[in-house]
Amino acid sequence: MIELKNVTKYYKTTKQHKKEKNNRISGKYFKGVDDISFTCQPGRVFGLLGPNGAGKTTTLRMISTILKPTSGTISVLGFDTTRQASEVRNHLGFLTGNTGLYDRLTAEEMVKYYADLYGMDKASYRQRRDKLFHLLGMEEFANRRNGKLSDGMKQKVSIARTMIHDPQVIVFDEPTEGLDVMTSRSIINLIRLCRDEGKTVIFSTHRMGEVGQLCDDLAIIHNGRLFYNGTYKDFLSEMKTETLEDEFIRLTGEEA
Amino acid sequence: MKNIKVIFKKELKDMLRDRRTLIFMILFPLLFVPLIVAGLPKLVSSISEKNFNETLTLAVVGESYAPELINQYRETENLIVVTNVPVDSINQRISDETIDGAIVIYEGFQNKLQNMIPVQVDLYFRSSDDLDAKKRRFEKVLLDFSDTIKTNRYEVLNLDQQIFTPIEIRYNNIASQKERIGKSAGGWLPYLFILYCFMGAMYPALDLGAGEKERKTLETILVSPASRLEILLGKFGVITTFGLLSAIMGLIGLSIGINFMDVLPEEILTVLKNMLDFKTIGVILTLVIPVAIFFAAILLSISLYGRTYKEAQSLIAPLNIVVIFPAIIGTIPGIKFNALTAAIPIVNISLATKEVIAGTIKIPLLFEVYLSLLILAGLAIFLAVKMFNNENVIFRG
Repeated sequence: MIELKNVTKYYKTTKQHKKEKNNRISGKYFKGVDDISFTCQPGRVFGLLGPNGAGKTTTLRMISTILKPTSGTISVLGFDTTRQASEVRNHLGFLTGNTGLYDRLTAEEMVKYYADLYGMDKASYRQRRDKLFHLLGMEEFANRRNGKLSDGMKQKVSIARTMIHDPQVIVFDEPTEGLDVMTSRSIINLIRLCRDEGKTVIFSTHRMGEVGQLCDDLAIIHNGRLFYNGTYKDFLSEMKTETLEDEFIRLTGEEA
Repeated sequence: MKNIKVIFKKELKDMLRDRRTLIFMILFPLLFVPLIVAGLPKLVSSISEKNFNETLTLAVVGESYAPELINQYRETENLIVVTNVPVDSINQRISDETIDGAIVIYEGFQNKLQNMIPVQVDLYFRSSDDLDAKKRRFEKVLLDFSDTIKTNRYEVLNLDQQIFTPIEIRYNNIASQKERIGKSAGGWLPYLFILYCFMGAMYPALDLGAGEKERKTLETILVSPASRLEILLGKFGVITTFGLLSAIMGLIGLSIGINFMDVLPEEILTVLKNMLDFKTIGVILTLVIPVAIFFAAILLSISLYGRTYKEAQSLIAPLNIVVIFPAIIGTIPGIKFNALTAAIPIVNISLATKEVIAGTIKIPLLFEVYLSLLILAGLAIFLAVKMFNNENVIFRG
C-alpha cells in the first residue's frame, strides 16, 4: 500500500520558470507538487494521469525516496519514505521508459548487480532470475553486453532489474514512453501480472488510452495539483463529457 | 559496508572494460614515461651534436691583415671560409643564412700584436636557440690563437706563468651527488605522479558521476537499498584506485625507461637508480595516496554537479591548471621546504619528495605534509557527500 497525505514539494525557482512566468511560482519557490493526497491499494493498478510537467515524476520520485517531500507524509507498506527510506527501497521496484543501462555490463551482470544490492542469496537469486529470464525470453542475450542490445531487449533487462527482488510495490514512471508497440505491450502485460500477483502498482502516463487499458484507480494531476481521485469505474460513470480528453480538460479547467 | 563492496566491484569491472580509461590509465603512462626518459636525453644530445657538427660558413674581411689566424680557420673541421663578402652586407647575409658568421680584421693587426697592444676583431653571428654553438665554434679559433700568443709572450719576457695565478681555488661541495640531483631534479618525480594520478582519476570520475546522469542510470541506483553514502563511497573507491594505479603505472614506466632503454650516461643512471630505491618510492606512494583521495573526491563532486558528461568535462578542464601549477612550483629550485610550504597541498609533495630523495627530510615536516593532505582529502570527501545528498545537484535541471 502507498499512502500520500498532504504532500507538497517545492523546488527553488530556475531562470526557466521565471521566463515562463509560471503561476506555480511562490516567492523563491516553484510548486512541483501542491498538497496532494491519495492511496494505492495492493492488487490494484493506480494510474496517475497528467500532461508533461504536471508533477507526476516528482510524485513518483518522492514515493521512491529519491526526493524528500517539503511537507506532508508518504508511507509505503507502512514505512515512512523519509525516516525509513532504506526499508521502503527494499520492497520497491522503479521503472521508467527511459531508464538507461550500464552498456559495458552484460544483461546477466546488470540484473545480478541489483540482486546483490538487494542482498539476495545465491539460491533465491537463481530461482528468481530463471523465472524472469524465461518469462521475458532473455536467455538468448543474457551474456551480451547491454550496449549491443536492441531497445526492446534493453527494456526487458530493465524490467528484470526492477523485478529481481520480487518487490511488493512497483512504481512505473511513464513506462511506455518512447517505446515501440511490441515493447509497450510487454510492459502493459507486466503491469497486469503484478496486479494479479497482489502487488501495489502505481504508474504515470499522459496517454489517456493507457488509463482505460490498465487502471483500477485514477488520479488526475495538473500544475502540481490533484483534480480527481477515485476508481476508474466511478470516473467513467461521473463523466460529463463524451471522451476522456474532454473530461480531462473539463476537470482541470484548462483549454488546449 | 557490503553494498560499498558490491558497488565498488561493479564500478571497477565497468571501468576496466572502458577502453578510453585503460588507455589513459595504463597504456599512456606505461609508454609515454619511458619515451620521455629515453627520448629526452637522446633528443637533447642529437640537437647539440647537430649544432656542433654542422658545416658553417664564415666570411672573412681583411684576411691579408692576419693570414696566420685565417689559416687556422681554414684548417678547422666543418668550417668553410669565404672572403668576398663586403662589410656592409654581413648582417644581411647572416639573416639570409647564406653565411653563418663573419670575422672582420682591421689594419695594423700584426703590428699591434707585435707591440703587445690589445687588438680588436669583430665577430658577427646570430645566436638565439642553438646553445650558442656558432659563437662558441667561431670564438674557439680566436681563443686558441690568443692562448698561443700569450704563451709566446711569457717565454719572450721570461715570465713564469704561475705568477699570474695568485689564487687557486679548490672546490669542495660536500653535498653528495644524490643530494644534488635529488634537490634539483627530484621535484619532477612527484610531479609525474601527481599528473598521472589526476589523469587516471579523471575519466572514471566523469563516467561514474556525470556519465551516470547522462545514461539515466543514476535514478535506478538511487532507488536501490544502497544509501547515498554507500553509492558515493563505492564510486569514490574506484576513482581513487584508478588514480593510484595510474601513478603506479607511471612509476613502472619510469623504471622501464631507466632500466631497459640504454640511452642514459652511466653516472646519471647510477644516481637515478639510487634515487629510486624502495624507501623513496614507498614514501612517495604514501604521499600520493592522500592526493589520490583528494583528486577522486573533488573530481567526483564536479562530475556529479555536471548535467552531462560534456559539461562536467568543461568544468574539470580548469582544474588541470590548479593541479599543475602548484606541482610545478615545487620543482623550482630555491623554494625551501619549511613549516609554511609543508602546509600547501601539492606544492608540499614536490618539496617533500626532493628532501626524501636527497636524504634530508625532517620527520615533523613530513607529518605536516600528511596532515595537510589528509585534511584536504577529508574536506573534499565532505563536499562530495554534501553534493550527492543535495537534490538540486543530483536533479539539476
